[in-house]
Amino acid sequence: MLEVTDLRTYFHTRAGIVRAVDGVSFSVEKGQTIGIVGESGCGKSVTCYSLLGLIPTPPGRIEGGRAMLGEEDLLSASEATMRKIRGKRISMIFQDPMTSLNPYLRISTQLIEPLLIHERMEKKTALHRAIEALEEVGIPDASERIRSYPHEFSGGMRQRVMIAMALITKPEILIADEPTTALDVTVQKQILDLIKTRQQTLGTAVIFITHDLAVVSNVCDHVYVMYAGKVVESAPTTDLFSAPEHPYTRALQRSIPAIQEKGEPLYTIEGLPPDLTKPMDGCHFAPRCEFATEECQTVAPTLQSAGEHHETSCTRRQRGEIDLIH
Amino acid sequence: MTDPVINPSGKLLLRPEDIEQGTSLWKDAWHRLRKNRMAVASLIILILITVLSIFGPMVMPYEYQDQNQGLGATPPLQAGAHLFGTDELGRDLLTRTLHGGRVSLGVGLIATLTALIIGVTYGAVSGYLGGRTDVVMMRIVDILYAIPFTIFVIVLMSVFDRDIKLLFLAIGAVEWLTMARIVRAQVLSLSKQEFVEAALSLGLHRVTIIFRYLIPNVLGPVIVYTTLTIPAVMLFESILSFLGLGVQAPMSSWGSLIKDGSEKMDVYPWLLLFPAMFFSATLFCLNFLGDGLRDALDPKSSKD
Amino acid sequence: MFKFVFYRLLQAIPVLLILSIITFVLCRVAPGNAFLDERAVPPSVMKKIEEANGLDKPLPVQYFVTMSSLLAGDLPAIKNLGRTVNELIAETFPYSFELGLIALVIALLLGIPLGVFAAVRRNTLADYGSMSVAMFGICLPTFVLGPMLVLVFAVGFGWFNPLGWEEPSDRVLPCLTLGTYYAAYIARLTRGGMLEVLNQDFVRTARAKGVPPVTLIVRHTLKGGLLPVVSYLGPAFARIISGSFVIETIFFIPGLGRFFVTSAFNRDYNMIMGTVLFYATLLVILNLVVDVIQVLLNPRLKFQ
Repeated sequence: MLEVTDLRTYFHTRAGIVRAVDGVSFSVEKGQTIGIVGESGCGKSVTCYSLLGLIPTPPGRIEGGRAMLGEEDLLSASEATMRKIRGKRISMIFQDPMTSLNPYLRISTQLIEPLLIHERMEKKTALHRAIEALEEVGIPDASERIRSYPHEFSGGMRQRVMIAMALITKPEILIADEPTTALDVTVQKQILDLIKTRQQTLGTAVIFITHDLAVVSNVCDHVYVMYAGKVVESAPTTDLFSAPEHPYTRALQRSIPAIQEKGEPLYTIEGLPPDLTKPMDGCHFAPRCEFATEECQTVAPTLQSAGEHHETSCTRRQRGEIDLIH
Repeated sequence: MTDPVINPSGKLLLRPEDIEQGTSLWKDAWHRLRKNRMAVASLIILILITVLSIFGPMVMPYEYQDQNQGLGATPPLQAGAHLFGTDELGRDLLTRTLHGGRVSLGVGLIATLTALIIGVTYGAVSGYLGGRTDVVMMRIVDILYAIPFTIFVIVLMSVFDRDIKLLFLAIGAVEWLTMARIVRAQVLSLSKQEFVEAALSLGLHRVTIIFRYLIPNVLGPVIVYTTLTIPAVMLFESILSFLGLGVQAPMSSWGSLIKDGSEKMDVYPWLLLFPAMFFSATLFCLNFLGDGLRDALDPKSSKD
Repeated sequence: MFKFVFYRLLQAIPVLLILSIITFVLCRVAPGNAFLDERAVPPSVMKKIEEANGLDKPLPVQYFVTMSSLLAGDLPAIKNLGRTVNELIAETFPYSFELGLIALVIALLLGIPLGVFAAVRRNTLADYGSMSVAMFGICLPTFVLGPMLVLVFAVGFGWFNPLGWEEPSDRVLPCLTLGTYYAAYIARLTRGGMLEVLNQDFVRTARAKGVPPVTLIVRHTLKGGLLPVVSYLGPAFARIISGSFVIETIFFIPGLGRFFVTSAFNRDYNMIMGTVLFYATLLVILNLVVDVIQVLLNPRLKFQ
């Protein structure tokens, strides 16, 4: 349904060109949930903002690639076309529910806005629909509370409002940009469950952006692991966890603090992600990789099949030189 | 007369992360300021006008009150060394303009200094003590804000026969309110910042903290606001002079010269032109410099 | 809200009381007095004049007498025989009110769109251009701008009368002169406020919903972006009042401002008392209106 090929988004800053997203490809099917995982700054959010045309330009610029939503290429579509797609065919929810709702407007005004814009609905009908939507995301006294302002809601409640607002037009795709990161642990689970049930009811596809592998394992069908602007591994969720095919993925998994391994020091990935203003010849992860060779530093890797629906960009793994499971 | 130029609400202009290293902040700021061509040009012009105003009248062949009866209302460059021409009484306009600059700039500086001293002290005390004292002190400022000070100063000046020393004090006493608010807000929010606690927990002495963290942080906004207060004060002085309540003839200030000039502008336009040029240029430069300083001292607030 | 308004008005009473006492004392301790045009009067005559005007009584009694007759509306103006202070204020204030109101409307209608435009087009030539124009408006004092406009449009083109307040077209130049500064200032404030709001996350949310640009600005950002402008309106009212003194002098408008300055000059103490209190009350009310608007615009604020 959505097919992204070779997306490249660069930021032209004074320090140089930042290749935030450098040749990313992925696809989403109807009703499917995919995850895009990576450390902060790996380009996962920029990827999704690029799809919606929300990159601040300048300094950002989409340098190439295609993103086909049905017949429409999102990357080359006009602003007017994009406005019709945003909030109607593709919706988005954000990390911080405290700041992503407009503090000056009532919840009702913000909720009915997509309906007024995209469905040309009567205000009264829209309001009815909005109250229903609030009830669907589990907000009690919806017909009363819809008149509140965002600051009168808790963080979890606001994220529920965001979800209601994003799904009110029954979009084909929902992009969730770290939707649980800013929330309490107890609330995180509720929000994830909510997104899952709403998705099942509406048949919406979801693109989950997160740095949290635990979230991925809970909700996603397929996962793309990003590192320094590139996808390094793509796999069905179960395969990714049982048989990672890229050293970075394995390192990520090992750095999840697990309860049973008490006493053992927490695993950390040595070093920092590379400076994206400096072009690199070889594998971007090579400087931090425990398996890296001379060749990894100089020859650029490509994504290649490593099983059914499974791809890795690790050259050594592709040749079977290293074992990542044991 | 108080401009909420920076922040009536008292929002932080500098954040702790900006002053991780006190010295590099100032170096950075100076570096950024130097890159701002408008601000640098303004600074140069300001220095030029100030130097001219201070030393100009000393080297001029005329005194500001000297009347040359034979040369009343001479246009510029027509007679003798009267570069800017003369007024109706034959007084040299260049000398009078420069002398007016002394008065106007002097009022600006002294009144701003008065405001600075009162405002910083008051604001710092209020913010530092906090609690109930702070509430009462700020309530007083709120009340004083409600008083129409321009009107008050006009009454003061007319009642006390246009005493120029009084003028300095009166304006200064008016302008300190906003300064007090800014300083207080800074001190208050800074003392609550984690990095102050962190410094305390590291065993730094309170005095050290005040000098190394609080003062550099407060100084930025204060410098910016001071730069922007000077033109406001000068404008105020000139309004009073324009209304005939400022300096008295034969003394001149830019305000009084502009007033005289505007009355005769259809016949002797140069009498308005030259003082107005000097005055506007000075205001322009001070405002540009203030803007530049704000951008330099607070990179985050600058136009990004 | 009514409680809020009530308490604020209640708070204003002591402020006005203190202000009236200060003004009164200032007028009485000042050298010279209003009833004498020339100082050299025999003491016996002086005494008679003082007795006739109640000046021989103790100060508190004088204050009480003055205040009660001011409130009753029958305080006589000293220099305008046979007229009361209240009458004169009622007669002249409408001119000042009209002048100030039109100027403010001009300022808002010019300033807000300019500021929004500059913010939306930030860091483009259009932004720098409009902000330079605004800077010019801020730096050009009214008493320079006014005469210049008169010179060009009244004397030069002959489109308007150079002074007076008779025909509707007489409003153009004075109101434009007074409004320019505020338009410029409001443009800068609007730009700053809008930039701050435009950088907020919720703007991104709105864009992600497909909100068209005009709706985005008007519905989502204008409310927050205009908060600095609204809080500036308080000081702006005060400044427009003092600005009207200058404008009314330049254009010979028979408003309260010019009248007040003349009274201050002539030391018409009764008139001074009346006008100061009138202006102070006006400001209290206008500031209250501003505060109410502020709370109405920002749902996170509460009346307290």
